[in-house]
Amino acid sequence: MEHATIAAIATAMSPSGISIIRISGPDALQVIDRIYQSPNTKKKLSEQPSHTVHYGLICEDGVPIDEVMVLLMKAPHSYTAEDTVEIDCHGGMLVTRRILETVLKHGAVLAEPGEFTKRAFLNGRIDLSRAEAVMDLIEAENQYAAESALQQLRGSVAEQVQKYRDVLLDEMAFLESALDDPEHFELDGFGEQLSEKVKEVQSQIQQLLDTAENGKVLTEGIRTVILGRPNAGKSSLLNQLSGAERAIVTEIEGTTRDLLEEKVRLGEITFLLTDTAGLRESDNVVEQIGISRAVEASRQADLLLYVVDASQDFVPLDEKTEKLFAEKCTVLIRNKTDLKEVVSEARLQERYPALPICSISAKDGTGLRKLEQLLKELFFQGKVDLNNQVLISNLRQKEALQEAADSLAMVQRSIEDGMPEDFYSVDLMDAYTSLGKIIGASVEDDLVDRIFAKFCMGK
Amino acid sequence: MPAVSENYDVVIVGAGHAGCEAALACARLGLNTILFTVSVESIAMMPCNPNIGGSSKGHLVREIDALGGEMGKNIDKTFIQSKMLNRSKGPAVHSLRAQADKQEYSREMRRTLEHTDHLTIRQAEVTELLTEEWQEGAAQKRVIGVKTFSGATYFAKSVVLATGTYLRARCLYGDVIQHTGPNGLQAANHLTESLKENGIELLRFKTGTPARVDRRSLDFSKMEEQKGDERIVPFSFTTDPDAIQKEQASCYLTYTNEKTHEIIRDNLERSPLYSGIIEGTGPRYCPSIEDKVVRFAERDRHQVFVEPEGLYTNEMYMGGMSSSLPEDVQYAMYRTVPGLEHVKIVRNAYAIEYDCINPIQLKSTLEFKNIKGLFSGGQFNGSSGYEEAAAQGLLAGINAAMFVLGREQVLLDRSQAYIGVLIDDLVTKENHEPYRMMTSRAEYRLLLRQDNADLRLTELGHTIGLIDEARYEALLLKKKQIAEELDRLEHTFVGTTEQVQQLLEQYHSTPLRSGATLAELIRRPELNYECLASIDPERPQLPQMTAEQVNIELKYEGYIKRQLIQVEQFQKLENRKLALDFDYNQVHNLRTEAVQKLNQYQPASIGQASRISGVSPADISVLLVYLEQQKRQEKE
Repeated sequence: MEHATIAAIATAMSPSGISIIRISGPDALQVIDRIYQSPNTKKKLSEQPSHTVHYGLICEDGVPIDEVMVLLMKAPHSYTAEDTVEIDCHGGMLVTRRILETVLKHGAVLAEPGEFTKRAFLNGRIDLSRAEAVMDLIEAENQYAAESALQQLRGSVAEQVQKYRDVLLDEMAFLESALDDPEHFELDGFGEQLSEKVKEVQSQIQQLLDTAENGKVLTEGIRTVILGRPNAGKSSLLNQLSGAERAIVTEIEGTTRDLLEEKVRLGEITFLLTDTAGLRESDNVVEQIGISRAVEASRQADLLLYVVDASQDFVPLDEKTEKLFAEKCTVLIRNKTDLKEVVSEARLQERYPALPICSISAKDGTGLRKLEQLLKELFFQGKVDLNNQVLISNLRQKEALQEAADSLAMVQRSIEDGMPEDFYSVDLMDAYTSLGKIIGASVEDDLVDRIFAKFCMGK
Repeated sequence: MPAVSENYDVVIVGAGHAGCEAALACARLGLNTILFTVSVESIAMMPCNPNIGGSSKGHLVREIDALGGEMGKNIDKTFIQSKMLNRSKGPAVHSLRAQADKQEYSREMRRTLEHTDHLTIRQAEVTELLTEEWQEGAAQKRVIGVKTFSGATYFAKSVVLATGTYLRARCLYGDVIQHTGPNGLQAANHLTESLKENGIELLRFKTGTPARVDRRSLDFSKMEEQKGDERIVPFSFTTDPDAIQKEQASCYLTYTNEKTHEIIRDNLERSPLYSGIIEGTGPRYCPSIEDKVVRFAERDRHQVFVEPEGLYTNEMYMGGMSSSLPEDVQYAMYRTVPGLEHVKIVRNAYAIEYDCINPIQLKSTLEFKNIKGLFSGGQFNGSSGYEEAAAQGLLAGINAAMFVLGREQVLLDRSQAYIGVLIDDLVTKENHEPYRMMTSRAEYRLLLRQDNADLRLTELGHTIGLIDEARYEALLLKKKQIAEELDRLEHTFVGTTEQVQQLLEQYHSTPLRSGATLAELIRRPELNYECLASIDPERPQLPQMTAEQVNIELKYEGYIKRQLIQVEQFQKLENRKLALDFDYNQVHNLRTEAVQKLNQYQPASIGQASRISGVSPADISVLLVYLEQQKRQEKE
């Protein structure tokens, strides 16, 4: 199977200063030769050394399209490990598209999403966790998720996991040496020593696992439910939130209970809003169903927005629902400040001393910025330091980490039970292999299926 | 000129531990077999240590026995001391070791060979491998027989090479070089050329042996006496334990000291190993005393095991003191060791260098990839040790027989047997020194115990035809008894009776609050099957080895289950077969190094490919993706 030479616009299609078109494959250099023109010499780029930058023009039938910088990276020293050419052109969708079209006309085919990464992986340039991180990056829907993906791209998960593996390997190696050569290696006290080492790795793995929840939040959005009595202004709030920033990303029919879910981006954070509005505004039977659905959705949520109408006499929600406020991160939103005040902030605070309160007018948008600020703060207070932390953001990695954690727990049990030392290695080996799955250092039989699913390779 | 010419089914070259097993397997399967040796007196000779078994090697002997080989039976008839090693550790690393009466061992094996039908013993040096052009799969030739020094030709459908350490052998100590095989026996100097002409790649390896000394010159009062086990456990599953309980000879333990090490260090440049005379690579795991002194420089002493060579002789073996230092240095260093102050050497320590093959030329069946019908086993394949040799010899013999009979080849994988690990390591890993079996090499050792070798392999031995009906029936009975007893223990409840609580107290075990099954009690770390006998009146009379299996299966159930899951994973990759003549240049995205290695090794499966050094998991992923693409294209 001969590989085609592929090309795509590597930067976002937006009005920006510079755009990059990337070409990769066996004919990448020939393609650029056909369309590149040096300003004063007749040099051919294919004859230039790797990792050099060349100023010139991209021409179609001798007519210049744009003046560009061309970056050459010859195989195997490129991202894909193939001959790669990058054309830096003046931003602007029209020019960028025209250059791409020219490239395609002269021997390249349009790359599929993620195809550069696929090649990098297949050519052994990057391990599986990095390849997956790139896929996450492509799919990332907000800035934080993108940062997490970038972190992985830099290999921080791989680095961490490799460290744990090294520790385990050292211990296994000692154990095996001692079994083979009892004259020169003694096992006295090995159990306690191993237990300490394993404990350390266990706690580090646990920390990584804890971030998995956050990682999930980042790629999917914070699951948020808006609650409140009828006419408290829930729908208005939802409209304000989704309309204000024009940031509806997707609209998904709720998979359960016919609730409408919307992805809404507030600043840098994505919320997966569940709208319970409208469900309670019919006859009693329907209202009952509505309540139970809202409660059910609230149980699954990460964040509750409890909307209270400040212009009406205060009526609390049912006990069962209010109980949730203690369990879930909840913000009380005192709505309708544009009308005559009946319920004061102080009064609400007295009744719900633990809840942060934000007064807004969903009708005219007053206080929304404050709400946004409050939500961000709450998110950050969740001990998530997004800029430095290694985040586990995909399910496969999480599962493998969990397996490793379970195996290490077994090792600890063997030590506690006073099992002979040679029994430790069964579970040490399992932990080592599970960790290897994360960085692609363990060969797995289902790997192919996953790669085919992930990279949509088709036949 | 007229010359002798004969026809056989199988020719075996070499009558060491590999050759004997190979010859017996073929002859017992009814094939007309001829066994060549440079000296009939050296059949099954033990030119180095006087023991069989030991850590992980004991496992090999049990497996050989379970498949219908001879080594276990032969040592049971000729041992003079027996010990189960590592009893304080888990059952996976228990290992049986016996001191042999060397001469008896050799004579007994010779007797067995001589009484085996269809087997001819012939003293002659094989000098030439006879082959003819033959294109089939990866093979370019096929073997048709051998030629001896006298010019006689022996045609055969299959040949097994088991030349041990005899090929172009030379023995060295100091600046003394003798062009002989072990123990001064005649070397085989001609076959190498013929092998090379047939496209076989050879390596040069080295190993060594310590001095033998006169027992009367030793002072045992300065050494620790090492006695055998009180209750002797046989190697062979067919040997009646009661029949072999006997008085045992003792071994002795003493130590080297700083003085010894000083003498060695001062004379290192006189060792042919350090002066560069020896070209071959020696074993790291069976190092000479000079290697140990250099490598473990911080150690102030090393063990010296003084072991009898037999009951017929005064000669004692200096275990741990193998060396190639000059004669005068040997005397000087031995005499610094407590108890050896006045030692008289009978035979010098020496190093031996010899030709062997690069075993990656072999399939896992031990057949050469490029020469059909040619098999090999033993030290010739780059291993070290009697047991490793015998194990390969048995497999090579079985597969030579299967080949002649047109039956399916026998393969053992890493999850089935130490023999499988041994062969897989030899054929897939880069081997730079004589390969020694070690427990650490077996990933699934909790399943590959020496105590269950029969349960693992005897059925296969029966299918092959080396296990008779009676033994097979006995195995089935044992399996049935184990299953029934396990079931009974899982379903037999004991109450909180005084007798039960007393027993638990006696073993420092928590008293029962309510009823429990016997199985639950056995799983407690402080209890076992045997100690519960008094509260288990319904217990059937089981042979000791059967009861042992019941105990192990229950006590280590969790671990065994987890290891079985590991094996399942392993098998998935083993079962993805690769063609032996596949051109890996077709897989475009493979790294150049991986393509070279894969083309060179031609692995039989994805699993085997993943174990080749220089082939990374990423390479395997690429290969898997490629195969999947091929499959999908074929479907269309």
